[in-house]
Amino acid sequence: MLAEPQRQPRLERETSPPAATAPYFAGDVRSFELTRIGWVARLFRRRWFQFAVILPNQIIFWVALIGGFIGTVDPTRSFGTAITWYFWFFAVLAGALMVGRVWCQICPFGGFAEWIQRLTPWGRRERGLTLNRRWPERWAVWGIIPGALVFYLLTWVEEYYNVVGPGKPIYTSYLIIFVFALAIGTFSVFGRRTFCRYLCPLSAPVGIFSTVGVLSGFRTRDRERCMSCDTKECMRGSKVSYGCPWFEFPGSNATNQGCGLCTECFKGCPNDNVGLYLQPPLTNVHSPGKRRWDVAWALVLLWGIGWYQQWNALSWFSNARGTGIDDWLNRLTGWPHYPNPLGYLLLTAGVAAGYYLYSRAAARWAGADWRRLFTAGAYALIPVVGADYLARQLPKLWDHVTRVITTASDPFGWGWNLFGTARLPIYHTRLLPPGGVVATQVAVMAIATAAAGWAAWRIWRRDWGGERPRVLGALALAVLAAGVYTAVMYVAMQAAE
Amino acid sequence: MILDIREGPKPQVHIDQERCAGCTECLKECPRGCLSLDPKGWVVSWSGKDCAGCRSCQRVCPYGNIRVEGPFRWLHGRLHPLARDVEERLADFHEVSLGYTREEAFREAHRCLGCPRPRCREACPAGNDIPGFIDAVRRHDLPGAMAILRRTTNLPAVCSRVCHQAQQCEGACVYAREGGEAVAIGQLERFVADWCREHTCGYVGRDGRWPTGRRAAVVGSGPAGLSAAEDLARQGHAVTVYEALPVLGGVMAWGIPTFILPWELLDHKLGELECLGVEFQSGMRVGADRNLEQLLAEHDAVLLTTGAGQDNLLGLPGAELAGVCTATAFLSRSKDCLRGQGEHSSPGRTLVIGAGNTAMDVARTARRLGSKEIYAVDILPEEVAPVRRDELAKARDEGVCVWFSTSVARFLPDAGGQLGAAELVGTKLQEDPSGRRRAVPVPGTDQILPVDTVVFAMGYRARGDALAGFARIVPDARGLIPVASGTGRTAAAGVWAAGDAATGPGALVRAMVAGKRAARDMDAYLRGAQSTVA
Ligand SMILES: Cc1cc2nc3c(=O)[nH]c(=O)nc-3n(C[C@H](O)[C@H](O)[C@H](O)COP(=O)(O)OP(=O)(O)OC[C@H]3O[C@@H](n4cnc5c(N)ncnc54)[C@H](O)[C@@H]3O)c2cc1C
Ligand code: SF4
Ligand code: SF4
Ligand code: SF4
Ligand code: SF4
Ligand code: SF4
Ligand code: SF4
Repeated sequence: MLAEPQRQPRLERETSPPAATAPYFAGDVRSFELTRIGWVARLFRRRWFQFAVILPNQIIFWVALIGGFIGTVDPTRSFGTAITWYFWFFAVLAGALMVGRVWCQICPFGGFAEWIQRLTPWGRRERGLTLNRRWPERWAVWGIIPGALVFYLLTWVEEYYNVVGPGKPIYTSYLIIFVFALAIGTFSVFGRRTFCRYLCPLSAPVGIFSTVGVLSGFRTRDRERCMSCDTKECMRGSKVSYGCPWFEFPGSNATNQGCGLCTECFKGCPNDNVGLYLQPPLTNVHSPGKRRWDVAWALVLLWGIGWYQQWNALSWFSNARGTGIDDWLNRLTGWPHYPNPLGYLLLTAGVAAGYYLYSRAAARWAGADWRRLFTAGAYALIPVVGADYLARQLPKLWDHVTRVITTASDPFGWGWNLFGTARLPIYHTRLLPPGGVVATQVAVMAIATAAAGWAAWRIWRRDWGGERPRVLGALALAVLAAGVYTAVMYVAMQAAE
Repeated sequence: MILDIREGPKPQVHIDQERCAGCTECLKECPRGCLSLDPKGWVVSWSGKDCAGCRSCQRVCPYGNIRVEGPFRWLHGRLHPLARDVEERLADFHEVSLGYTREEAFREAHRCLGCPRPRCREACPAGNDIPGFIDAVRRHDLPGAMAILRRTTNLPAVCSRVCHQAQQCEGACVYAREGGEAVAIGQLERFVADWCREHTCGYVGRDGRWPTGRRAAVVGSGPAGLSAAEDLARQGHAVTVYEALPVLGGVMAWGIPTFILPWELLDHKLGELECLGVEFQSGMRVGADRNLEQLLAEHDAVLLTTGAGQDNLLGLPGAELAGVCTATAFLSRSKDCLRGQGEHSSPGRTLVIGAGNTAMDVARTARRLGSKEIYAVDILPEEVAPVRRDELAKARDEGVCVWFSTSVARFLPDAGGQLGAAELVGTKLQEDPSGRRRAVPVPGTDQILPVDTVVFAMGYRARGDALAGFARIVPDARGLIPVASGTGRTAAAGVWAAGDAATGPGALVRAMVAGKRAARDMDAYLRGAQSTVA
């Protein structure tokens, strides 16, 4: 006899493992295919295309690097310091949040290492200078977390040597050299862009924040076609193209997080089945095909770094009188000066632990699976964390970005005047008054919080099918609290100055 | 030992569904159909019922997304065919390995997983459909297995005996890549070829083609020449093979000893070619008895497969003494005497210079000729010397004494002016100024070894005498004929070259493949070209 089907109590715990969420392809939303524009498609088909977009950047970074060694020691006169910290980092973040992974398309680090790896600037060669190893499975399970950890480490180093501060230009050079060396080393041991996928310090923030942007990354036009495609030139390479250097598969790709926009699959697909699309902002935040656990943890780590960088600007954390928390920790541990590594570790771990506990509690309250809630919540937080990183760059941008123009004419501080801009009076121009700066920061955070709230709602509808409204409550509370807290902190930091 | 794969620990395959891109690379690789794709979610999942634990999926996933735990379950270990006892085999020149029985072949065939993307096939220079023919063996369809082999190879009975399988097909077998014993592909191939020869099946005729009336000449009757001649004849062209030696078969006839490659195989092959209408002119040296221009006048196309039959020699003091000879001379004399032409006496104490394939062939032949003391020396250390391990082991079993890191300084005459001894010297690897490692003699390590015969087996180079009086093709610095890769076309219209003559000394199977490729191109040419023959 069949048992009477039991009515499910409304808030029974989810027991299923995190289901693979429904995929989401460019074609599923209102999107515009950029590669339908004739000249865009023709440009992307050229093998020299990526070389051409990397080259200017390459020159800029080598000038910045060399400037640290042979140029002035005064950071306010150094082109390297100006371009890197007053403009570049802001541009990378803004580019990711507004457009997508464009930085990686023009990145000099990956670009340079790739030329060496392929032994050609843009040609197609079978053999290059690499051992072509595979990233071992036991490392691959950590996904993008190793890259996030390198970023975590570099942030601390940057604070220690006050590289951005502005510190000595040579420190900026050392930092650039470090990334170049790490890239070249990894490229020569591992195949393709293993470095970019797993290890690059910029990859985690750039990739995660790109999900907010409007560029979908290269992906298939017709999935069915890929389903029956045996040759998979996009992944395996062809006579005219390399297999995806980023180890992406356009056929199923539903997020822009991992596509480096290198155009290889577009060149290689024999079925002309690959395109580059514009999509509504936030699309890959709420609908990234699959939500990934490693991405969620990397985001939480980035968030912790954000907390630290706000706290350290406040006098009770570190001050000249030596009465701040950091100073106290230094005395306790015998550490020479700010920043105390233990403090860094504790605060970032504290943020992660706090978020973890929040997810556990919220999941219990909402009857949801905590892993799912943890991951979904982390995705919903992407706009807030991304905006926090961006907002932190704004004072430097508004106050000093004009120096990029003046130092460009005199990159080494030797008194040159290459473009006639070296002695322009804009050197001292601040684009906004201090009150205006903080206003833009608060505005950025307000927009981001609203966006994250909307994304939380979409995530809830998509992942929980609109059921379990408490999940929505938990997600919304997290993003709202995070957004408001961050905005308030910027006001507090302004007051502290 | 036969294991029941349904018992014991089972493999477990873990797929991280979050990171799976649904690229289906793993799925295409799995020999057991254990993986399936959910087309909506684009993720792959695993069902363990038939999983062999072969790790093919793990190896291909571009994302490092698959972890296989647990054993690689194979049916049983590799079956090694019986080989004759050392005592017995040293008494004659018959084949050493006895090959599989039918029963053994079927059992071994069951080990093959039938990989959908067989790496063994990718590693076979001929591109034999290995899982295909092994599957036919499993289905007891031996003529079918032969038909599959014959699509890509003309000499399965030969290749299966002389190929260095551990470096080719078997080295790439999924079993070997997981540290196990590869499926015995060579032995199975040999079994199929032998069975079909003994049961007179598997002969491939003319493909139902009419004679084309075009005439092709093949110079040289080695593996490259014979397979090209066969393929051309099957397309309906009239083929004549010109061979300088009185025996046909190239290295297969004068070089490779019969205890590796019995006469019957070659004779059978030549018989097949005669059935196809191929004409043979042995004892005709092109370049001397006749030149290439004359051949071109009489034929629409000419293929040069003259091999690389010139022995490399060391200009050592005493090398002119009676008792010092080349591997070619030694091996061909022994084979001549096997065919009843000439007497071959025991070479006495023999020193072979080199430890490669040819050297082992020489040493083992000398052993069968009655020599009790046989030494082979190689200038390189054992780890880096280009030797075939299984051949080396067999030679050592048969009592051949192989010394590595040893070189010869000079030969000394005995009282009668004949070869009496050789002076050996130890070597070690040293980097020269350009960073290349070379073996150099170590002073104070010399010793005198009394010997009666010395054989140079230090590799070969091309002779190029077929080109005498023909200026349109200029051999390169190594004496090789320059050709277009893939087609074998030379600079002269209507002339092709293939095999060792074009690529330098190499593996037999590669010469065969080159011959087949050239034949394909010649066929296209002959079909398009007007006959130029009066
Ligand atoms: C002793 C020995 C052992 C070997 N063992 C192995 C092995 O175990 N495994 C393996 O893979 N490979 C082995 N090889 C290598 C392999 O045999 C050769 O790569 C292969 O035979 C080359 O084939 P071919 O057709 O190009 O030339 P060959 O087999 O050398 O045939 C060339 C033929 O052309 C004839 N010829 C030359 N000049 C003229 C002319 N001017 N006019 C007419 N005829 C001419 C020669 O007499 C010869 O018969 C061995 C080689 C030798 C010498
Ligand atoms: S991942 Fe890093 S190295 Fe690679 S392209 Fe992006 S920024 Fe450059
Ligand atoms: S090559 Fe083209 S059709 Fe084939 S899988 Fe890749 S994108 Fe799809
Ligand atoms: S281990 Fe081998 S048999 Fe098992 S799923 Fe992977 S490929 Fe298939
Ligand atoms: S190879 Fe890896 S990524 Fe591709 S379908 Fe299989 S498990 Fe997924
Ligand atoms: S021809 Fe040689 S390599 Fe190819 S299957 Fe046969 S034995 Fe193996
Ligand atoms: S011989 Fe080995 S690699 Fe080849 S199909 Fe069989 S099991 Fe796979």
